[in-house]
Amino acid sequence: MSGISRATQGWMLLTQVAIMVPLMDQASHWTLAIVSLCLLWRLGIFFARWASPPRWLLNLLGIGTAAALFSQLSGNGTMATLINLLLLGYSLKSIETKSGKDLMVVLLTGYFLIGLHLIDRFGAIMSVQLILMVALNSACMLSNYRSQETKHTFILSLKLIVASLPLAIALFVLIPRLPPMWQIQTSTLARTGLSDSMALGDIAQLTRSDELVMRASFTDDPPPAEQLYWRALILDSYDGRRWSASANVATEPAEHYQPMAPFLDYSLQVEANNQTWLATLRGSRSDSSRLRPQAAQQLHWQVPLISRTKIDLQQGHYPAAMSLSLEAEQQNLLLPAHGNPLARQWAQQLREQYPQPQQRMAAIMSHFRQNPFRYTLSPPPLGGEQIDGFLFNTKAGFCGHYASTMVFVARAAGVPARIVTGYQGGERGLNNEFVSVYQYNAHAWVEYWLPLQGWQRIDPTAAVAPERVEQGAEATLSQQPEFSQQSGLFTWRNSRAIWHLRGVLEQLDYQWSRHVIGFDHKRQISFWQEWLGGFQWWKLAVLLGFILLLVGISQSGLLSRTKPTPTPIRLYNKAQQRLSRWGIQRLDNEAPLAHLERVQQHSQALYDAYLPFCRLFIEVQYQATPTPAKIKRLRGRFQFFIRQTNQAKRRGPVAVKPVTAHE
Amino acid sequence: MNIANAMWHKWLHKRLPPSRAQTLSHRSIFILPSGAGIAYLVMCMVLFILGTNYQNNLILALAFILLSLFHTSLLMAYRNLSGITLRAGKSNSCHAGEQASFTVELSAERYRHHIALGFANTTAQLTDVDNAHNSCCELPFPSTQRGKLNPGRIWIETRYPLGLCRAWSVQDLNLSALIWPTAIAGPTGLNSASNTDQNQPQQIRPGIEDFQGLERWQQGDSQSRVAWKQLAQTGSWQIKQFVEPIASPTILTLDSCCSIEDGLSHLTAQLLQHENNRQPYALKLQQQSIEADIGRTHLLQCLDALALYQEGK
Repeated sequence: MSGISRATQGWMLLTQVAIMVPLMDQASHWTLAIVSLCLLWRLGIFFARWASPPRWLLNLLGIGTAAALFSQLSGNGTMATLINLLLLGYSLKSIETKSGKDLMVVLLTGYFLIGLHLIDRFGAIMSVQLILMVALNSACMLSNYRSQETKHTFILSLKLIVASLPLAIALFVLIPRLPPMWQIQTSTLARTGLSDSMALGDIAQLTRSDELVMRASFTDDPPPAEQLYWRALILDSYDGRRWSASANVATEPAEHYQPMAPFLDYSLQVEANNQTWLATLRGSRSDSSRLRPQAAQQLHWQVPLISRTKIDLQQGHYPAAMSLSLEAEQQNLLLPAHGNPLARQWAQQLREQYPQPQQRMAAIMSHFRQNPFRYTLSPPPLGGEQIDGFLFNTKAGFCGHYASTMVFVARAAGVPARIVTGYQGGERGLNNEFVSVYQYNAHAWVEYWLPLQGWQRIDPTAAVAPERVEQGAEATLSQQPEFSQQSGLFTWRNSRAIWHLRGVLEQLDYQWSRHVIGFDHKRQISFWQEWLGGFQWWKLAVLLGFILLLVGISQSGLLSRTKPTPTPIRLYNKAQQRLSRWGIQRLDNEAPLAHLERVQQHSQALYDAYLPFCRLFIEVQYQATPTPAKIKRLRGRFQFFIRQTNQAKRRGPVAVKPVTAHE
Repeated sequence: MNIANAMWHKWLHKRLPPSRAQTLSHRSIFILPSGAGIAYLVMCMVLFILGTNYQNNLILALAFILLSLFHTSLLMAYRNLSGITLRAGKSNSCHAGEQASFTVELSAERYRHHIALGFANTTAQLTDVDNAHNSCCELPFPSTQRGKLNPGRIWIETRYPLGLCRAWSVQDLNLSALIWPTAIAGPTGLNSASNTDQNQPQQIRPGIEDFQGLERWQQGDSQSRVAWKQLAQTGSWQIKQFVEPIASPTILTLDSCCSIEDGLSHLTAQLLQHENNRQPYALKLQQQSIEADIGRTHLLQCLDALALYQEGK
């Protein structure tokens, strides 16, 4: 198996491009350069323009590879390094591929690289891509074992994979899911998302992205959009520029917030974001061991989320009256010692004017409503005193501006308050089955403390742009030129047909995630329970054995291949078996008549027993078309011959009594 | 090791007895993963661990698809081999030390890809089997000594479709070929001189070597042999006559001065030399004598006699 045909080389090139291009976003510049060079060289070899690379070039590329990996090491962590290493090895090996063995190495690496595509891609489309890539890689292998017939190779390869699917599905459903064997470093998968601090301007960046964050499905109808505040992070510390989470958030004891019945059941299908926070409705709890309750009614993942995950949650009511710990109260009133004098002055006025905290907050809201504040994604620069600049000068901004201004003023007016960031609203799918939350749903709002009533949610953005809350971000944002420029989504949003198509695709993706991506240990156990009466290893073994047998029989053609031999030939062969007792069976190249003669020479008695059968056989086989009657007669004569020779066996080899015509 | 080997061959002999034609079926086909197949399985395992660690169902699904693809390729390898009929064809004899070759005919009902065929310890031949016409393979086998050569069982093997599994069978087609002794030039003229009567007038026959004289031209004689010079001088049509001498038939016998094998080798060399020189020769061995003659058939007859001389003693 030395030397690789041109067809195989072509398939290899095609496969390599198909496998490597989607991984290019993980590749460093060095890797990119070397990989492209290798592919080009491979192309040159394919068109028979270039020979295989000379030794010095390979050495040079090897050094380049080392450099590329070295530059990678400092950066993005093990997974990215692994991907780069494999990409480099994959393309370098391919240019020096000469024998079938080299090809095998390339192809096995190819299969593994296909696996690495799937680490952070989960969509339904991915499954199609996956099958196609596996088929391409297999076609390359296949072409090495087929002469000519290039155009059927891919089809055949697809057929092989489709034929493999039943067993694969059985394995997928039945093989138990194991817990992770060791902790994985996850720093590689950099993802956009909310950050744990917010400076004015941050959320606008997020708002422009139409990437999916999560999908929520409710057992009943989804609550109206203005109630869907998905809380992700609490920001309670302000340094004059930037809001962040203080260590004191944790001092709020988690058990104070055990939600109570009645519960609203819902589940989230969360996209991997490599973060521990989870955006939930306020007062949510979960039985899952993957989540741990955090202070301030947050739920966090035990480990950063690295794959699309489904989680079941319950939202309950929480007790109304509680007291705030001293540390927490201080933390939520804390402001920098200096800065924003005008805002502080206004807060002081509010404090004197309204004795009740609730009234002060309402006054801030009506201030936003009554003055010419506007909602914009491209706010003018604020200057050094950000809050003052926004409040009295520019009066233009987005949720981050309103929330941080409100918290600032509230704290200055003596009301404990904090910023909550997360997502607001979401887009309803077809049939109201689920609500999709996108990055552009990112939002920031305010919670303030009311004695005896607890934390209260208030959204200052609603005072300025109520439609942002009621109809969702899309309605407000699509009028903002910056938004539609960045996102292709809204430019073709106008066409109803396309909108519908998108809905259908989303639906498909949702179901895919629910049943395939979300088929976890828990669901598997319940599947076993429901269909097979609980998991047992012996059941698994028996079941898999049975499926293997079934697939094996149907694919190997053991059943279909046994074409029955025509009766005359079958009988004739049996007669030869009988004659072989005397060593006078027909030889491979002997005509039946010549053979008959030989039988006669051997023994007259045997000849007399054999003759009627042999004659009729020759007639049936070579002269007339066999009728059922003749076959029946042939069978009779065969039995006669057998009977005669049975007696012969008993009495001795040749003592067959002479017979005349049988009929 | 030897005992295991012997037992294996005994078992093979019982399960797959020799026959001039064999059809491969589940009784005679063995399948094991190839080296690449084992690497592939290890890779599937690594993918499974990766998928488990990342709790990533798609990677697990890929691992399972690849695993069942392996299973499919195992069955396909079996299907590619099963149903092929092997038939023994002609065996080509040769001198000891050269490559004998055996023709094997392959036929099948469906098209078969990438079938490798060969004897143990020889390089295999690759062929496809077309359902329309049978394909013939000429398989070389090195010979070491004269006599009957049994090349042993034929290996027939395929790694189609993906190279992950090796399906093979070993079939005994009852092949054998006669291996002639190696030709080694011995002391020349030893036997032939003793048998030639020097006093006899040399016999001649028509040939092209020596000019004999002129003869009358007759209808049908070749124009190229017309003696044009004589025609111009005398006006009579004559043709030139050529002859070549025939040596009287040499009787070749085994020289008793050296070992049988050496003697046979010398005899072989003489046979070939006589055949080359177109000198008739006869062969006389202990119990066998072959009449003087010349030509390919005669040569083969003599060589076969030498090959079988005192075989098995």
